[in-house]
Amino acid sequence: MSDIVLATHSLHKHFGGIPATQDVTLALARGARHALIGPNGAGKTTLVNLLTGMLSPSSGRIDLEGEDITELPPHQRARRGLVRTFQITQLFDTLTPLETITLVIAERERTGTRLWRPLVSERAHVDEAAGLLAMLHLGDVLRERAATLPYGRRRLLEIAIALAARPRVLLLDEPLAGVPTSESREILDTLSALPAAVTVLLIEHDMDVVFRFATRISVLVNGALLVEGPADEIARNPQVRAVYLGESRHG
Amino acid sequence: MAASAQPPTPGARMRAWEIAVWLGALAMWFIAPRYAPLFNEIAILALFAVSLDLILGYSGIVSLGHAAFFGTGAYVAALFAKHFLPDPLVGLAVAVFVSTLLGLLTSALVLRGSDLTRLMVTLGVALILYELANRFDNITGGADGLQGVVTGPLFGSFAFDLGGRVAYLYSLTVLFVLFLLARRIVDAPFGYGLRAIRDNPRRAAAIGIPVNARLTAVYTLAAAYAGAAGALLAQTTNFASLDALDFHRSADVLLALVLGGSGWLYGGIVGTVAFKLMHDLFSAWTPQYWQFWIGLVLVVLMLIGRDRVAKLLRRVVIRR
Repeated sequence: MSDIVLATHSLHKHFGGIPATQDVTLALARGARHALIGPNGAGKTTLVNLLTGMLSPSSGRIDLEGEDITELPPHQRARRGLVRTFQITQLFDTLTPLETITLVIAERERTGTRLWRPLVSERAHVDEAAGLLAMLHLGDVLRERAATLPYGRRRLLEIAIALAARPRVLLLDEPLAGVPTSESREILDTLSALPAAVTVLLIEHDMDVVFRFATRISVLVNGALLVEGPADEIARNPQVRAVYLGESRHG
Repeated sequence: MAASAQPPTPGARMRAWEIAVWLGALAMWFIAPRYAPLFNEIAILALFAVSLDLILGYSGIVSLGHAAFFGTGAYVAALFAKHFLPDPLVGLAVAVFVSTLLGLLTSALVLRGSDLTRLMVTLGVALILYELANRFDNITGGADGLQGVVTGPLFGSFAFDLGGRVAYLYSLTVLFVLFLLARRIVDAPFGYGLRAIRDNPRRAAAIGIPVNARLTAVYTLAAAYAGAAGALLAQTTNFASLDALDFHRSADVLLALVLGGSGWLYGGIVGTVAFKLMHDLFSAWTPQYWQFWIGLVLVVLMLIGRDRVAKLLRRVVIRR
């Protein structure tokens, strides 16, 4: 067995009597390019929320680098390198992209509690932020308020925030949702260029993207894992085709 | 591309108009010494508004009970001067210390819940303190206020005069020092972290910001500032009363801050000056019904949008 970075052990989550996550046991190897697919309402985002601590599971365990993190609050998981993007863009609307990314870097470098020197006077952080934003084609809006950016740009900034945190495990919740084709290519190229040691879990509806990016795929149906395997196997799996690909014709 | 990464704001350096504001405040001491008591009060209330801005404007914590800390600072400073030591700077430090402690203790109450919860909890804390001060009148003087407070001379040699000129310089200096400190803090990484929490607490946590710890820190800091303001009032008037803990204190400072613009430190100063001027103007004009006009201004301001009015004012005043 290869080096497991993130693992869940029979994870359950109920909302009242309604099960949202059922007995999910998942293991992500270091450097994995793993996709999580499933029809709408399968519980994909719920699973991401459980992994990042935004929800606590009804039962089960989550391990990061072999340590039990089930009880850790979201910010401590993020500090350990478990970073996510949100399906619905979550930005700091009054901050500019440059301020946002510089702040993320400052928090990553544990200088976020500094009280005296201005955030923007930390040259190394500002330069790194500007470089990352330029790479994601946000170089011309460094000083625009995030609230004023058009949708595609906001999605890019969402990705930039996650990348600036230098994740060990990156959870991408439909990163390309609603992104124009030209920009979705930038995002995919950027994600492909991530260091090999970064473990990525991708939730995505676009099958072309999934098969292009992921080497392993898990299929989630009604909160439970239906099947998991190498991408080409999943593509041929008749059960998956019936449950998921059949459904995607409507969406 | 990286070459364009100039700091977006001048950061630590003061801009020309800021220097003009402070020199103007100082000039008032020479130009209109007769009004020193009024300026003194404005400086104190401005400090109180800056304190509220730290939690409301920068961190998104709404409060209807910020007078809890103001009043605590006032009573502690007055009691300390009366029973222990009349030295104003020592008294200020003690009052700030006690308010800070109270802020730390009550910060847990504002960490969770909606804006409504926070409004009610902060209001509740201020009401409790008000009634405690009312009940324990053997210590506080109750409804009559705490009499017989004598504040000693500054640095042992500058006695507070009846004309309030020493008082104004004292309050203005404390305001200036604490304002500069706040200005550094809100532009530092810590301050940006607060803005991030205000804008989107979920996202802030997702980038590793310990939201509760940061909110505790800023709430405690704001309590210290409010306590300092209260102490200044008690020391420069040689008096502390229930008025310092009263609901109208919390409401007025909120009103002044919203008037001047929250999330901008000068908003507290601008708002306090505007509020005080309107108060004096309207009450000279119509002594019984001045609140009608304040209310009208507030409603119009909120409906037009403070940002638009502030932008207009800033364009006129600052001409950038």
